[in-house]
Amino acid sequence: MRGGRPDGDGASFSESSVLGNPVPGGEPSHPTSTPTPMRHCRRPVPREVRVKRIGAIVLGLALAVAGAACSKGSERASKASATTVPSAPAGAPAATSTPAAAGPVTDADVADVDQLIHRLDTELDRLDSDMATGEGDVQ
Amino acid sequence: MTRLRKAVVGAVALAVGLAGGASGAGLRPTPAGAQQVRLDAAKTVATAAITRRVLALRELMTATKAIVRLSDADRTALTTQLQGQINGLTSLNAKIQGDTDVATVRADAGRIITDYHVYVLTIPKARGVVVSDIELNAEDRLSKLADRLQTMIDQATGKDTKKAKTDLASLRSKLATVTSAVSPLPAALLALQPAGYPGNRATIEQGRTTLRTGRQGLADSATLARAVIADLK
Repeated sequence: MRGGRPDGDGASFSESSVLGNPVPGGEPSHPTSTPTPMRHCRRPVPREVRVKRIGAIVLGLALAVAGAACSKGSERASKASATTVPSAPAGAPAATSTPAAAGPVTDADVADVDQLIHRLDTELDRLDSDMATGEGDVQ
Repeated sequence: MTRLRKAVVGAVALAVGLAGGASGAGLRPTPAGAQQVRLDAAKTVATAAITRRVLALRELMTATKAIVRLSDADRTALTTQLQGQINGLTSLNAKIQGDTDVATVRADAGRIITDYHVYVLTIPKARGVVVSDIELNAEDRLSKLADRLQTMIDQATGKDTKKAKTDLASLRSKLATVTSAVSPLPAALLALQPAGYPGNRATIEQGRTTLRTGRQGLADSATLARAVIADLK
């Protein structure tokens, strides 16, 4: 958890250097109008804090190295998934809404056609209704 | 007395005449006003008739977007025809709104029917095309299922597949009948034009019968597909 602190400090440092604002939570004894650089303000920081910061940097580097290693592994994993994913729809049963392209035919496959026939019935009823309709009055 | 009677009768007649004149001038519209009212009423009726048709045609335009099996040419032809009628009716409405006499409005209103035949020709024909697409799509799917059922039969070693083969043959036969009957329908329906009405009404009637028969063939095919599945268990 301490690893996060230096990041925050670093961020505030860089922000203050860019924007020219005082470091939040920094030494309030220094007036904001003082042209003294921030380094001078941090010099009197105790050794313990320095050690902690160095430790945090080391920890950050360690995390970076570990992250790079993981990314290499994930590359392999993504390569593996890249080869397996496209092959899935061709062989395995497809999504629920679309009929399977191959393999044993099930009642579910026929039920898919039943849905089309149901839609067909609706449209045929509409056709009957259309044909029973006259032109009506226009004058 | 005779003079007095004559005077009374004359006064009554004058009063009635004045009353009649007053009612004609104040309570009833003038002939020009009545004509304007009739003109506006005729325009309102014509506009309502056009609006109903345009809305129905737009609904069918939406339905054509669901077409998946027909050729692009057929789909485009249908969309073009529907949009053409929408545009034509919209222009006709604009003309009617600019008409200055009732006789012209009535003549133009008559064109709503004679030039378009939206309800008796265009809508049933477009619906028939949409239904044809659904039937051919269902036929496609059943045909693919039939191929897979054939594979299942081929791989069913050691089983009696005689009934499965018979049912599958019946399924394929029904699908072939549906295809041969429905495939020519879209083109035949799209060729029908308002100018050919009512002579071309028979084509729509026959198309409806064909589509009803096709629907039954598809339902029978689905039943046969289930039968083949059961035969192989």
